[in-house]
Amino acid sequence: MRILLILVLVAPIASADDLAPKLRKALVKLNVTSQSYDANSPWKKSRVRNVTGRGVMVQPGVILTTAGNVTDALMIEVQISNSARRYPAKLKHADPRMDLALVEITDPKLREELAPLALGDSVKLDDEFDIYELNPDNMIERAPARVVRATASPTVLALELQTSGTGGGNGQVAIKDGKIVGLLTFRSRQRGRITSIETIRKYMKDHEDGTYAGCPGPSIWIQPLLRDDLRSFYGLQENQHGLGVVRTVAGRTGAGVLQPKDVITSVDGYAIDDEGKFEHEQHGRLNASWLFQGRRYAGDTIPVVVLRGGEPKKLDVELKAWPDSVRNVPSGPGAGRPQYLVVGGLVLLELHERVYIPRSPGGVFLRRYREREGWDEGEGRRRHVYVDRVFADPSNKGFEGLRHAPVQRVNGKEISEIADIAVALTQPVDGFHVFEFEGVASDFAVRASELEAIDKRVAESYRIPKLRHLRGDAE
Amino acid sequence: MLVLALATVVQAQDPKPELKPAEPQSELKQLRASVVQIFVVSQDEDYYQPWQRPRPQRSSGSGFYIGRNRLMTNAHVVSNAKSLLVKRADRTKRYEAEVLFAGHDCDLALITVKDPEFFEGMTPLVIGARPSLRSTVSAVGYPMGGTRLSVTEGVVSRIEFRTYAHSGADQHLAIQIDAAINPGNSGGPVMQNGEVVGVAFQGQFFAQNIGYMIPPSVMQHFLADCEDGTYHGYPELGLYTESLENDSLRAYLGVPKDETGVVILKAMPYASAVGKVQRNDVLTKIDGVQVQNDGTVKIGDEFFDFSFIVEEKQVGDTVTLTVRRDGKAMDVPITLKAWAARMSPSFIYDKRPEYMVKGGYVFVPLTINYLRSSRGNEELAFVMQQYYRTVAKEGKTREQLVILSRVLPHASTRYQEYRNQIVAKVNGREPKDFAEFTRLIDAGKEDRIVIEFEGVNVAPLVLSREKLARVHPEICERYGILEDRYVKGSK
Repeated sequence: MRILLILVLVAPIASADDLAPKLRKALVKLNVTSQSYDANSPWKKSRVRNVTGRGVMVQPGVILTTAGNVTDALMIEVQISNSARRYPAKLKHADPRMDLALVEITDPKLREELAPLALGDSVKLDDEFDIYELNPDNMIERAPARVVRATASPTVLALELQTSGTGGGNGQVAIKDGKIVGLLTFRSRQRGRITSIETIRKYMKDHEDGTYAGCPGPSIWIQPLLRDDLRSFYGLQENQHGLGVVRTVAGRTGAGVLQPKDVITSVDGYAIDDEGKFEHEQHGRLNASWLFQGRRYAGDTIPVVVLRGGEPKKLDVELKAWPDSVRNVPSGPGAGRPQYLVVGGLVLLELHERVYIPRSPGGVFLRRYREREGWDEGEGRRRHVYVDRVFADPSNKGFEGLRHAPVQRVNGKEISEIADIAVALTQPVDGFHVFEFEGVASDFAVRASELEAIDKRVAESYRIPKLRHLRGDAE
Repeated sequence: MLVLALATVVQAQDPKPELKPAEPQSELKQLRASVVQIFVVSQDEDYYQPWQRPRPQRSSGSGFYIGRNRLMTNAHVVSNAKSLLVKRADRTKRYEAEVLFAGHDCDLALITVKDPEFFEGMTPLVIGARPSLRSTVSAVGYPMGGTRLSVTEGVVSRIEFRTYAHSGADQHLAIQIDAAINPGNSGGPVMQNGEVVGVAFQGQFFAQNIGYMIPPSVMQHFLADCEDGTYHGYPELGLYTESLENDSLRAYLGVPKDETGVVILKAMPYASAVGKVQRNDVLTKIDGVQVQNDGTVKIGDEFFDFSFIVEEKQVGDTVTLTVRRDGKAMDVPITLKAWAARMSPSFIYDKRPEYMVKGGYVFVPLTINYLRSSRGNEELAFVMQQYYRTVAKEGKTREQLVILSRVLPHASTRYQEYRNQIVAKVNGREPKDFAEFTRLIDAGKEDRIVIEFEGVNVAPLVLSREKLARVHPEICERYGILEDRYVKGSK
């Protein structure tokens, strides 16, 4: 009796002991030093930030972690369990839309010491597993977790967890039967969220051929069809279900293939309901937007069935990427130093989604551009250039309060991106450089012959080391 | 009753000499007869649930006699009034009064009392000249609801253009005094040397002992405007201008060194200057008065905004702008019009709000009053604020913006996420105002109504006329809506 009891108690410990050496060779802590450019004053950098993230080796020498951990990283160092030593590493790839990144260990000795952990199978509702991480003392720490729900954002299939352990959510690893089943992205008050192994596998696979396609971009403007009036407007019968297409956007997924008033009834083999959800074989009801973006690669073609004029129609829809390079309001300032110009004290920048725009007369236009990106007004211009603020100088007296004024023309030339201004400034009109703005703001004029002296004065007075940075300029 | 009886007894007796009140000074005696207390019961409008009205409120204000059986007070004292009673300080009886004119843009009103007995022994107060800075004035009235006349002394501390809080949008000259103006003071005269030099009208939050009064020029303007029996309001020139302090801009626009003025950017839609001015015209003089580079004109020793010149004028008068256009000076006469825009940036009083409830969908025209009545609509407030800058375009202006305020929950209304959406089109047509919107909703042979909204993230609303009509009575009954609409100009 006593012997049996001991056996029962020992058994799980023995299995944990099997896993422990594997974890010691795969789990790492990342010490990331990051610094971004000051978005409103791109000649400056913001404060240095130190982030401690977690990760797991998934290929020889390659660590999987969250993209959030390595944003604007200047230096990445890796720590392993039971050691205080830090080893250098470098960023291999990051996808902010999927919040996943790969970091490469550069130290050959450490590469040899570590061994990757295999990717496991997908987990589903009520499955139990553990979340592992290197704690602040570089010891392996475990917290049990159970899946309570699956969710799909447009780009990520995620699982909501009930778990012990607090804080974190920056790359702790979900492990079941000795294999990776997810990466923790959020944890607080006994709740957590992991990026599913499906999404991780997809991300890893995307690198296999040496190029990275990424997820297709957002695209079709759709409408749930819950109300009877609306259903009849779309010509739906009682037993028919789907999502209404309001419109598509030129150059993006579905353009020229889908039409307004089409009803999408099936995407990639999944039937779509009136709320825009579908039944996943393993994870239950999920948002259909994931079928267009997170599940596939940009460039893939998927079958879509629509009802058009009441008749089912099978369409092949190519899923298009929508990179910042083609957007006229990109998602952020982009890698490297943002482009800017300081001319006669005017600070000129390009609009992106993360620009904070207060409520000002010029801001109305910028807010609209940001909201309507890619729909109406956005077309025609490559980017939206605006005066963020003015460095007061005797030459710009009266304009010191100008804020967020969208630039329409400089020296009579339409401005489609910030580089256009540099070109326009080579051709003054009647001895003046003239800026015209949208909305109610007076034209700004400065004598071309005086500009050089003004710029010098502004640069010295406000200590701006460089008055311009355009694509192609040296850092 | 008891108090009255006692008083009678006391009066009947010969009072002891030391209890005899001192002989009032003659000015005070006149004030006691001419400065009246106004007792008001008013009922505002509920712009959020316009089919019902909020509870009436009691308040009091002050007023003064200006002759011809007319009393002057503030418009905000008598706005939305259901009952007006006035009382002299030297009498006990309260008389019924009625509003003759209310100038909501300048916060002045004229009221009268039908019973001629009320005016017996009253001498009109004379309106004097604008008091100078640092001179002493006294505010007379009935502050904080007290029933005895109060006189507070103060010094004129500043004279400047200010927004009049009652309309929330109009700017006129206002005189700041260092005497507190409290509720109840409103409408009372501010005296200097026996003449009225202002009407007490607003205080200042977060400031102590600061009060504001309406200057004689605004009072005279209001009285002159009422002379023909109709109050038209202040005319609006409606110019967007910018200062000409910048040397380079001046040189670019060809403004000679010794010339001062402002650069005209555009005329506000509906304003008097529409079609008369051009972008980059340089406004140098207004009615012959030199405009300074910061947009002021010199009147006496003070600099005021150039619109001061227009302030002195009435609707129908002409103002002459001297502008430099393409290097040449020219005179541009402009006949001044009243503010004709339907979408008012000012608060609305004494008017019934327009609305339409259709099968649980509540539609209203966008007004400042509506914005104040409902929370969480910053975006809408911003649209309103910027309407004349960016939304309204000359020539093809939507005169009113129609808002889907909200959706009253019912089994048939499943669009409850819709709140404060701006209507863009009804069945493909852009309604120019609220009345046209209601017509587009009501009329039409097709059963389906498709309402599109401003903004890209708002899907259109698709309704069925037949179904709306079917559920309409039940929804109105559920939410206690006795009248499902009020549209100006319709039955």
